[in-house]
Amino acid sequence: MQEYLPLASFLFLGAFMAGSAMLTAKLIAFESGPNAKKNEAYECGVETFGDARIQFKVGYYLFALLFLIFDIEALFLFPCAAVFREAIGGVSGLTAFIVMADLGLFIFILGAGLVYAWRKGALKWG
Amino acid sequence: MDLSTTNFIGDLVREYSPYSWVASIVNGVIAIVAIMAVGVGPSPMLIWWERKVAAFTQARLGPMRVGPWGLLQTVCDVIKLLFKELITPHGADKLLFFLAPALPLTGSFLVLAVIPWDHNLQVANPGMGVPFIIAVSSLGILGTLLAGWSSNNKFSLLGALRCGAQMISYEVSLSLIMLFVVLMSGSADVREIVLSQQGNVTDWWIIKAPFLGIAAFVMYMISATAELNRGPFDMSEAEQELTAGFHTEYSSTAFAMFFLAEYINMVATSALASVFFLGGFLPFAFPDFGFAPIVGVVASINGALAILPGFFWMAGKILFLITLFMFFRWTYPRPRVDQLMSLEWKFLLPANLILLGLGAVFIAFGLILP
Amino acid sequence: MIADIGFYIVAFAMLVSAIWAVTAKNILHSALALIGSFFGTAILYLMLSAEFIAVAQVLVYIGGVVIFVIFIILLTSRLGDKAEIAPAMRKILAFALCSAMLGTFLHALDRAGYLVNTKTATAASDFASMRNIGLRFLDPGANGFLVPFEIISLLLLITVIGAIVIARKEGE
Repeated sequence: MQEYLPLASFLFLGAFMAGSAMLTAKLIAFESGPNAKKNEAYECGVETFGDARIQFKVGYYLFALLFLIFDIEALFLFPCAAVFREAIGGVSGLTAFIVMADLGLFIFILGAGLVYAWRKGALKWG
Repeated sequence: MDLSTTNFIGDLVREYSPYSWVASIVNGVIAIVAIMAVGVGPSPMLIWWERKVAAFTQARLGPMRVGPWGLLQTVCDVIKLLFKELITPHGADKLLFFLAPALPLTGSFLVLAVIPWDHNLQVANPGMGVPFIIAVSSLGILGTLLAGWSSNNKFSLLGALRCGAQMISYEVSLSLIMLFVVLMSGSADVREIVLSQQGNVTDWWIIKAPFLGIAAFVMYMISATAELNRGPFDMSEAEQELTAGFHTEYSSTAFAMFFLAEYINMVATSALASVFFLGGFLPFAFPDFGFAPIVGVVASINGALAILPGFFWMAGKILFLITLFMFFRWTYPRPRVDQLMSLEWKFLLPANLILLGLGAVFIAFGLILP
Repeated sequence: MIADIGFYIVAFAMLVSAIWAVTAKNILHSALALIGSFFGTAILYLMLSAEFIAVAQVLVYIGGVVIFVIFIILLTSRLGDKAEIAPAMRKILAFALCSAMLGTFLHALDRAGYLVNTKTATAASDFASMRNIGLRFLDPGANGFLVPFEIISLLLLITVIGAIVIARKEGE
């Protein structure tokens, strides 16, 4: 808990720095007044057309989902990885074989998910 | 007081103050100043260095006019950016538009805070250091996605989506490689990981885990390049396709914040690579292999090398890795988006899973170098 | 004392961001407000010295779920502009359901004796440490969580398969 207090100050540091930098620019920079052309979205000089917020292929969400799943997997594996040496040494009364089999099975099942996604063509971009 | 394990200033304050939170606040304030110095300070220098590396790669001189060898060029660029007008594009979501630049910056500051720069130079050392790093580095992705959406520009949105997809994909690889390092060193504490590499060069994880270490290091560098959106993997700003990607609409200091975050992130990523694989702040030491005639000579050379404080070794390793990143950028051509995604999901990720399994087997059969 | 004040500040901030998340007109703002609420939860875990769970909260919810949600809002970003206004009937129904759920939770907590907590946290600070969690994940004994740990990976596998099946249906 104590260790996290200095980190809290860093949380505000980024916001403070970005905010003060943008405020400085607002205060000292030359402004040319509002202008419809100036505020237009920059699309290489061509006049903007249509809505900028367009619909994409929804299938891309699979990448985000796979990311989420491997994120969770990594989180669960972290405590196991940190105690792996200890567990395999038999210090804490665990059998080395069972520990290996556990982790192997866990990684294998996730690997199977990846293989499934691959075979179904979900890993194709575009 | 054991100087090698304590947080020096914090403990000093703790000795004189009855409240432990005073120490934490003092620590925090000092930490902010220190990180400003070590994290943000070198960024203009790195921008200059990048331009010089680029120039020498292409047989040019690079910036030469402002100051000796153009050293003050970046300072001029920053001042120029400060005087540029901050434009809010028509139809932009103002709240998100101005919040977005702060997020990557915050994320990279939080990573800098847990990096051990030397034995006593670390802002905070949470026991969960490595998962913490993975958790906060996602703020950068958040900033990118929000910047792209709030700009109300087709290129920005497309760039943000591409960049976001790329970053989340490679985040998976990075966290699995970090997991490998945690598995090897048996601790998720960043300082412990460094201290597990004490000894000579052969005790660094890049060599200590035979073959796996070097493979993990190479994959870390590839994933980090993609995660940082640096060339050759700078899909998000492929200018012939997307103008400038997610920050097309940003001008003035708001743009500078994204730029700054990119360089601070590069420092943080290189620092992590050095912590994980190259012994962090530990000095370079030659191995003697127990070969009697050279033991004395090697010991005296190592003693001489160890005189330099850890911070210099850390800085040296970081600079080396950053230069490596710069060489990547100016050497390789840019692949297509789908090739980049295939590289991650069809090569790096399965390779990482195998690496993790092999790492466990190596530990079980005692194949890690002593 | 300081911890108590801290708790109320965090709880208030969580409440404000939760209300913002529900009432915001723009879904992206809702997603952003959700970060505040998740982050507050992480701080509360930290105050209970459950370090690992706090980091997990940030890693999975802010670094995973919120990014997932925002990514999807961006993909279907026509939705991003304005939230659909629900008919009054549905609002009333939702309110009734939520109140019923809140009542159930409060009742359950009251029965278990947690609603008015007179005890201070006495759990050892390493109770939820990473080491303990790791050892119990790998422990096949009565005290361990080996089977749930393996089932988690199975659950994640099922999620992948389900998502792919749904996405393919939409694509074809």
